[in-house]
Amino acid sequence: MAQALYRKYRSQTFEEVIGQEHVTTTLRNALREGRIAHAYLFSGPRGTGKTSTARILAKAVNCLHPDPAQRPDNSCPICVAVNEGRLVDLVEMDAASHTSVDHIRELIERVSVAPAEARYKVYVIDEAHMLSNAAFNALLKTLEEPPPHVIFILATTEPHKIPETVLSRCQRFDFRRIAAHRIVEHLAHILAQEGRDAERAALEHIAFAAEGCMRDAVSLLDQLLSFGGERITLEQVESVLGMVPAATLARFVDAMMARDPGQMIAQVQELITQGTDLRQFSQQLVRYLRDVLLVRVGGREVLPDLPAERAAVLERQAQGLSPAFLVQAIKRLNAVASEVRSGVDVQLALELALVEVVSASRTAEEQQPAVASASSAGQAPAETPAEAVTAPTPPAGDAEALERLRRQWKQVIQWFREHRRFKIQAALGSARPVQVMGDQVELVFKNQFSLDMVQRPENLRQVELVISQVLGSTYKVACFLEADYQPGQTTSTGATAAPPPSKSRMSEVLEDDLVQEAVKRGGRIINIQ
Amino acid sequence: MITVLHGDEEFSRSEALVAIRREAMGEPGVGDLNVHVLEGPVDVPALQALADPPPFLGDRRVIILYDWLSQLKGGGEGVAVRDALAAYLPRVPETSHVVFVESTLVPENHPLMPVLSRLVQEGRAELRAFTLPPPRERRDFLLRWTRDRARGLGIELEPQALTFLVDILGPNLRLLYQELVKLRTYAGEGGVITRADVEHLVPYTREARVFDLIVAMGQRNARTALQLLQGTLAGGQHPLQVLALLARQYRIYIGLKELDAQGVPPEEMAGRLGIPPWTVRRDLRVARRLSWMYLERTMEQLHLLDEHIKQGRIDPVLGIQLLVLHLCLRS
Repeated sequence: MAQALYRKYRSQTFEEVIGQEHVTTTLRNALREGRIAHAYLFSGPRGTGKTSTARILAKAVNCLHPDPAQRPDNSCPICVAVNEGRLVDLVEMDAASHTSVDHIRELIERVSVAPAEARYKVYVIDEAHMLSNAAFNALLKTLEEPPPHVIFILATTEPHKIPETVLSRCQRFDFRRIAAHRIVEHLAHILAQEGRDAERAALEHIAFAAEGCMRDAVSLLDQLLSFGGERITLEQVESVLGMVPAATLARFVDAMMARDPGQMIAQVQELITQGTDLRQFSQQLVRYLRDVLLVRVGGREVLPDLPAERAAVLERQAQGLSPAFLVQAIKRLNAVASEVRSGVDVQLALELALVEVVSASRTAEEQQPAVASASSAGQAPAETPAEAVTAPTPPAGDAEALERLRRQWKQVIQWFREHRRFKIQAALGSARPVQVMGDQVELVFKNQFSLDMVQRPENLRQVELVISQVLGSTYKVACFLEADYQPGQTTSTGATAAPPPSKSRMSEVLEDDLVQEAVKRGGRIINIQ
Repeated sequence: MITVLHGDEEFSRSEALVAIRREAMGEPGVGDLNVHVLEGPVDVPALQALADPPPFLGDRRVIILYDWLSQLKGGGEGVAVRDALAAYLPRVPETSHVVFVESTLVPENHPLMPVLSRLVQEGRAELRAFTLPPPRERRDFLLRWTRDRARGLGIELEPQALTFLVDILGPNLRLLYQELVKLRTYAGEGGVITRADVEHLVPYTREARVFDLIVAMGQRNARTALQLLQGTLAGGQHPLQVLALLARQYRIYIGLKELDAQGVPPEEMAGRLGIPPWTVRRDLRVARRLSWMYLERTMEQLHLLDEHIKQGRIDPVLGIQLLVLHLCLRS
């Protein structure tokens, strides 16, 4: 039976461990200087080299090569025994299936016995977070005073589940996800060794799909090689992953950019004809749009693992779609999965979502609406104001509005006096407007007491309303202590402001008893229709 | 000889115990036979049985008793044991060293204190307390301690690296020492540790990253916030962990703002909220800039996302990315 590629190409030396140089450098220095700790904790995502490094360390501390810098040499009897899985002094325990205190007690009983053939007895406890509390307590005693001939290596994907008392007795190393280009290099190396070939884009796609997990990437490559054929292609990779080709998704998003629901529905039909699982397609589309959004807001470097060609397409599309549109589309399409779970036909759910997304964006463009709830179908992680998600660059200060507010500041204070809100009136007496940025007015206060008074939600609401009335548009108010204030500390997107309700209309609404009650309870006027 | 090692600072207490044990180590292979550790319910005859005989091929026996004195504070059956112990302690032979290891401070009014004090005056006993300085002086102490230990290990920490390390690891001396040993192994003898080295090698930097993330969100710096978030996720952090850290930080802001409104001085806030004192002023500055409404809504959104992730209604990574974007641009 052929050996799985992942086993065949498993790292055997520190140099072969990929993407974890911060760990291997330190361990090699420790070996060279004879500063081996008695307990290590290797934590990090799966498939990043924790167990491989543990085995390499077990070999290295026991290797018979005279030069510590050359250990493990993989040729001495000890290294060979470890590689063949027959060194009795290397004990590997899977804590996922040996969680109880009895398993640990059994292990600890053997700890005091000197190693049979090696220098150190090495205990590798994989998935250590699965141990029970009693098991951890039993282990702790040994970790506190370990016999000099024993080394413990705990490996875990969930270090937060390890008690602090155990953590603080281990030298901890965090393993990181492996960068895509390092995975691609390793896959190319394996292919060269195996005398096979692959399209560069195919390898990049495997690396991207593996999300930093080398084991997954090599296993996928193994699967692809088993199909035979001269060269692994991108198409084969997408087919094995059960994925809709990236090009199809890109075409779909292009249709979205063109606000062309007809084209999108036609593409859905085409996917059905090809036998594509629409539920999976909608999930992939959500991820694709998420990538566009990340590139749009955070730039290309937010997704360093993206294959180059795909990144170029995403960058082009990111320029043509606003963050607000992307957020809406992601939320609406994400809702399709739960709609399908509740029995709605997947094709219908998807088509409806697509039409809604495009129609909503058209309406938004036509009407430029006020701040509105973006929570669609209860799927939003927050009630994201659609327009709140805009380009990150803050707008410049609005000097004209600031000047107007400064001129009318006395009237603002007067309003509170006339409406018998004396505390707010007094508090505003020690404040002055210093900045108007987008939809935000910044006030500085001479003392904390006044600031706190105005910051109370019901008071802040009223101040915002009055200032909005004076300025003829909806503004939020940010309060700062004069001593702490630095201009431009917070800024506004500028695009969130609702269309200015007319001054008279605002006054009219404010006189309404129900509105006043709502404002008292923390309500806020967003728009007047 | 009687020694009482008491106090809740476990690392220094353990180091003192290790030094005492080392004293008793005679010839190789024999020393261990003169060290006895007694745990669980102990009685005076059992202690006597170990302490009275002369040491075996060595100068001294060491008998270690964990948390026994703290069990002998009250009345009941313990009184008889206590009296017996009070009578025995002055008779402990010169060749035996009885070490009481107590994880809390032995109070001045402990019934055995008169006997112990007398023995201290006679030079036959030693009481060593291990506690950290009060919160106000703690950070300076930790900075000094860490710098000195680093020098003892043969490395030098750059000032930024030193403060960063102390701020992220807090008052856990064992953890600080473990990380120093690792940094020493990484940099080698005479190495100089930079802040980047600490960020690179010390795993407990996630709270610091979350703080940077919140600051970036407050500054509406979506690009930086997303980069920090992506870096955190790439480091293997689960979105729910990031969510929990965000919620913790916003809860701290709410607590600080509330105490600030009540007029509580910053020096008292740390104790009341259970947070490191040196983070109070930094967090208070942020808290004062955030409105109640913003904090309330943010907590609601964090809760909602937590619910949706756990219900499988949204992919965790997608959810946290959208949330960060939203908070960033709505601040």
